[in-house]
Amino acid sequence: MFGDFGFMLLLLASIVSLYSIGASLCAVRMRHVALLQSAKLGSALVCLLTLSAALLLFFLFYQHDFSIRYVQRNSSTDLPLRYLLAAFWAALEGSHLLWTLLLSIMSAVAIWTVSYDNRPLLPYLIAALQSVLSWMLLLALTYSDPFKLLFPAAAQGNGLNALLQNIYMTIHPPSLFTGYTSLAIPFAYSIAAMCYGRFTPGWTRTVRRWTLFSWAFLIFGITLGGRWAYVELGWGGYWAWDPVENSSLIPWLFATALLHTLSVQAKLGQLGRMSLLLSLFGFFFSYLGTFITRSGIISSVHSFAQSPIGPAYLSFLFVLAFASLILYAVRAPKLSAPAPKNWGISRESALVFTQFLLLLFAMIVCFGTLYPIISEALTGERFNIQAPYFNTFAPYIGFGLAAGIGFGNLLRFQTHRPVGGYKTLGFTFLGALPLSILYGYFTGVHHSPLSSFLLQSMGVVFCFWAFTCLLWDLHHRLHAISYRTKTFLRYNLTYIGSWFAHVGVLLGIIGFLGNYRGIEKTVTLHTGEKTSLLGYEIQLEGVRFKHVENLALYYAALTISTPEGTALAQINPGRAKYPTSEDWFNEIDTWSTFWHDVYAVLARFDAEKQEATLQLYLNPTVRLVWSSIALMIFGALLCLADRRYRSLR
Amino acid sequence: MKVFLCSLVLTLFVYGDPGADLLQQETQLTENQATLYQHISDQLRCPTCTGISVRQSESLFSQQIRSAVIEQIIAKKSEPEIMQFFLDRYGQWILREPPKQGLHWIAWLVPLFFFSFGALWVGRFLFGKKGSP
Repeated sequence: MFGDFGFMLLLLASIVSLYSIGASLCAVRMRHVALLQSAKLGSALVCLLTLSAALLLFFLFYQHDFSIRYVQRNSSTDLPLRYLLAAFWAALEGSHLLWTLLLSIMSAVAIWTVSYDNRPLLPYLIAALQSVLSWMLLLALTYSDPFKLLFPAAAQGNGLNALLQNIYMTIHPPSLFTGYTSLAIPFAYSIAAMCYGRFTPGWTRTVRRWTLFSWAFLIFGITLGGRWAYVELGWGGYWAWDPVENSSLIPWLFATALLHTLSVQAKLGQLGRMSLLLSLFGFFFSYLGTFITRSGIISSVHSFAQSPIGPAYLSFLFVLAFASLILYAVRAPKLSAPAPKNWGISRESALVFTQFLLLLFAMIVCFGTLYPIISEALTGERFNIQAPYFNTFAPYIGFGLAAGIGFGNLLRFQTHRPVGGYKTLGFTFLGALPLSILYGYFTGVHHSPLSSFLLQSMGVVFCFWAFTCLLWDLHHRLHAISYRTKTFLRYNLTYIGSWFAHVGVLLGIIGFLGNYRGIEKTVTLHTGEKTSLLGYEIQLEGVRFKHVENLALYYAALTISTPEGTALAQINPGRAKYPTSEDWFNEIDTWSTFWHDVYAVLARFDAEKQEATLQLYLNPTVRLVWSSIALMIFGALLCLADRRYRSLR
Repeated sequence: MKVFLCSLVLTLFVYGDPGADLLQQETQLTENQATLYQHISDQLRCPTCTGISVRQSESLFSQQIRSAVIEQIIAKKSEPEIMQFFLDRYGQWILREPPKQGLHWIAWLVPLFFFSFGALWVGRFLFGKKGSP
């Protein structure tokens, strides 16, 4: 009965959504305010109906209602509550519903908070957003119905995929999907501006706020995915350039480029068409990412969400892209025709350069991700590109970005020399040199082989130089107002936010460079035996057993200590068995300091002989990477808090 | 999908016994040999996993490949010879990045094309005489 009820809710939502499209378009044509109001109410109703359907599905999970096929396939009675939540989006139907739900929420919020100066765009905004939403709802009724019944009902469920039984998997999909779906708002604003025929006064401000929101959620989601891979997959890393990881990175790169374009557009009125294109492509790529995950067209660690829904996604993407680009070709030239301008060496040029690097990177990642399809067409053989290919290009893009951040922040709009003149470049570099040498010495960069040493040194020097440039820029701005910090903080939140975000990026690059000097070893220990790993003594205290929630866990109790014998930490890498699976799964354990992680995997054990084979990794600067992401998100939050970017009601 | 899931689970996450033999072989290598071993096993894909090298994987298939790499190193074969051995056996598919030959050159040239075309366009846009947006 509940299944039918859920289906009815989704059916109603899709009908209301289709009505909203029709009503909003008719409202423009007939200049009918009440009709527009009904379309607006429709968007809220769609959100409520989808939310009710999602809550109902969660209730069915909570009740262990195994007469619903999706619930039976993805959960079991032994699951703790937080994993019941993860089970909701563990496979296609639920994650599709989550995507739809989040899009309906974002749409409703965007539509109901349209500012006074964006009001002419409202009908087009409703039509664009509800078009995407109604398609997703129709798919939820056909290819991806989460409420399909199972007859006869099963007594027990198949359980949740053991790999997904991790706290990061409870938060990663909603966060990433929030990022994906909120990119639909800049997309809809672009469509709306093109339909309306000009940029409204509030366009850049609103698009910027939504892009920033999406940007923060995307990076948060991507990082949670990285954390999950790090602690769950057991190969010692957090980023494998997996096709699905890549497809979440591409929209983020587009969103980053869009933020930089919007900054130029807001200040100088230039690059409007570029903003439109980036908004459109940002959303296309977030939709393409959803397609790659679902279609199984490229093999990935996310294969659990595969289904025949792929072609339906792809055809919609084609229609969406075709229609938007035709609209762009016809309307964009009329939309923005700013006066010709000499760009030269200036802040706006640095922003264009940054966009170039970001888009270049996005294109390389996209090309590498789709290469299996391209190579199959060319050679008849499918060739999956893996990490080494991407790692060939990534460092240079990183250095370019660091250079862009450093030099760009020394420049001002419409002025053709850095603050304090070109000599600034020299003394910021002189300031960076000792910092780089100190960092390199303390983190052991000089122990690396020559080629890796040169690459790391170049990266570290670039990043520290960019950091000193940022410091100099900050000093210069504070100096200009005689160090009245309170006033500065009050009126420059966007600048401070972007300052932190840029420091975050630099810290991230330094953190990624740590991957070049990781150490790993495989060792078999008996209870009481020790092994050493770069100055740490790791001793096996025993192979033990315990029950944790729904899993039976064998683990190696390891003590990490200094060579002098001072105990530093206890870690327990293990192998676990879940009640719904015959297989053994790794439960990795790590011990982190600011400079490196000791990462341990229990590869094999013999509880009787008290023997354990361990894979031990010393991963440098992993925490720098996590900290860099935290800084970026903090920066984005500061920017979002800036009053100048709030809506005019 | 079920088959895919099973193979994924089996290959990636159920580590077989990472053969005591392999462990013993690994410990026999000299420092230079160990560096070469790591370098080569980083370039070969784990045939049954997703996205990782044989060095990062403990699946049985990867262990066999690693063991074969060690045997070749001990037999004093050079890196190109060892790579050729695996190419003959598995084809180019075993590599983690496209070989710089034949049509696979495209994989390397396209990013360069993106870069040069983009740089040229941006250069003209920023420093061209009219600088029209």
